Amino acid sequence: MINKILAFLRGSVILEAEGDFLERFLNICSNRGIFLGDIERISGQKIKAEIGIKGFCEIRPIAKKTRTRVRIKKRSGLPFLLHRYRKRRFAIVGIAVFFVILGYLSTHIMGIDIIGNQRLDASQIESGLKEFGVYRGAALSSVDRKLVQNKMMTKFDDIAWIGINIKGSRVYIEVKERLDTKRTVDKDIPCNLVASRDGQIMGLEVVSGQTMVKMNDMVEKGDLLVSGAMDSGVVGIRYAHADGAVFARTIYKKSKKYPLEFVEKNYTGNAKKRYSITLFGKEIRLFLNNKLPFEYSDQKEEKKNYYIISDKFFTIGTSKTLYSEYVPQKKRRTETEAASLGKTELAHELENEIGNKAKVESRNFSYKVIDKNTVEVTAEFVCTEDISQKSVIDKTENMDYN
Amino acid sequence: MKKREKRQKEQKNTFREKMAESLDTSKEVILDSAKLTFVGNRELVVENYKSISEYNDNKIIIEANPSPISVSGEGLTIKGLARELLYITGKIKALEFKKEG
Repeated sequence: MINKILAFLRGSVILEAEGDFLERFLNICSNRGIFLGDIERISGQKIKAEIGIKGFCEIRPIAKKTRTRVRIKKRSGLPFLLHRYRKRRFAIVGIAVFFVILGYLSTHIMGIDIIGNQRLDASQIESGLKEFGVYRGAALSSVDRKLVQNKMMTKFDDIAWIGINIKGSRVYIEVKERLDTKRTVDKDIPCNLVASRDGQIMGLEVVSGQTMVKMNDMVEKGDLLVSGAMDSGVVGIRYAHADGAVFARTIYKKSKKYPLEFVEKNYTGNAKKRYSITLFGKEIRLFLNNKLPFEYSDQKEEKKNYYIISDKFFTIGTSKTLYSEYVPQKKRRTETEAASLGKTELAHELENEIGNKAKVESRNFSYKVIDKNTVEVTAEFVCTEDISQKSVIDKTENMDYN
Repeated sequence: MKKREKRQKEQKNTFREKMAESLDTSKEVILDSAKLTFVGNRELVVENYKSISEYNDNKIIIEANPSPISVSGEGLTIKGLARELLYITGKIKALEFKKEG
């Protein structure tokens, strides 16, 4: 295989030699180190042979010596091809441009994939990367992965670790974010504990600092709970790092209005599918009728994207929209029905909002008829949670905590 | 005189042969003789030949040491011809070492 490729690159000639002393001709050729291949005798005084271009150049004196007439039968190989196409300048320019583009595309960043970021925005990370020389179009050789890694980790506090992998012309950024989002204040910086939410104090576990509230006190958001500035009365104010937990009873409340009249969808079972293709950011419809297929219908769109080079421009996407027909029917529900619907919906929403940060003690629901057609449902959750939040003391301000 | 020369030559060969055997090297190098490699009856590679004295479809005569080689067959072609290597393909029927002189 390799031999064939090399032979093609070097180029060869199939020649016909005619004469009385062909054996002598062959012997001299082999003695001079000219390689002949595929020698075939055509007739008594004629042979056919394959010879390399280099060898062919040296053959003339031998042919003269042995009185052999040499004729070229066929030329093959790259040198002849190039010779034949030497006048097609633009084809050569095209080939050159092809290689230049290929070279450019394979040595420059053609796309950045960021995975693993949850709180940080991808665009934020991208702009950070751009600052350190990782952006679409940057030369791959100029990317110093260790340096970028370190710089990114110092620039973004939330990044615990960042991995930069270069595969081909794509850069894969793997981000691991810090587990704790709460910006902790260093132990040696004086700070206060303030309330992060309105509530009633239920428990105090103060490690350091001066407690400013009592049990069962009502506090508002931003109120000082534990002071880091301690006035001993003798040497003046001493600043300390207040620490501890302040548990309070807090209330989470949510209300929503529900109309008593509503529209129910009765699906007829009729459905229609429509397809479209997205090419380079433009949508191409694969259907002719622009109108909606049904008067009343739900639309569900399924999108699939295939990436070629980068994630934005060179994208081929397909989308399938499913229209399912329904007949609208006006219905009326009773107040209690609306209330129970509101109860489940609001409870779900509130629970999502509270999550892990507080413990729910009791759940209260109530509803009230506003007018003939609307009912307002209110959910109230009573929780206990640690409402202490550290806030650094600005010493330039002379604050009076009493 | 002729006889003596011949004997000397034979002796020389045997001496060289002995040397090659004792040195455990390839004999064709020491004896400067041709090396023939067959692949069935379809291919023949002759190494260390001198020249071609006759060549056509049915017969190839190769000058070599210690005696000329005559290859006969059908549709003989020389696939490769280099300084020290001759590569013959075709249907080989017979191979003969001709007498010297």
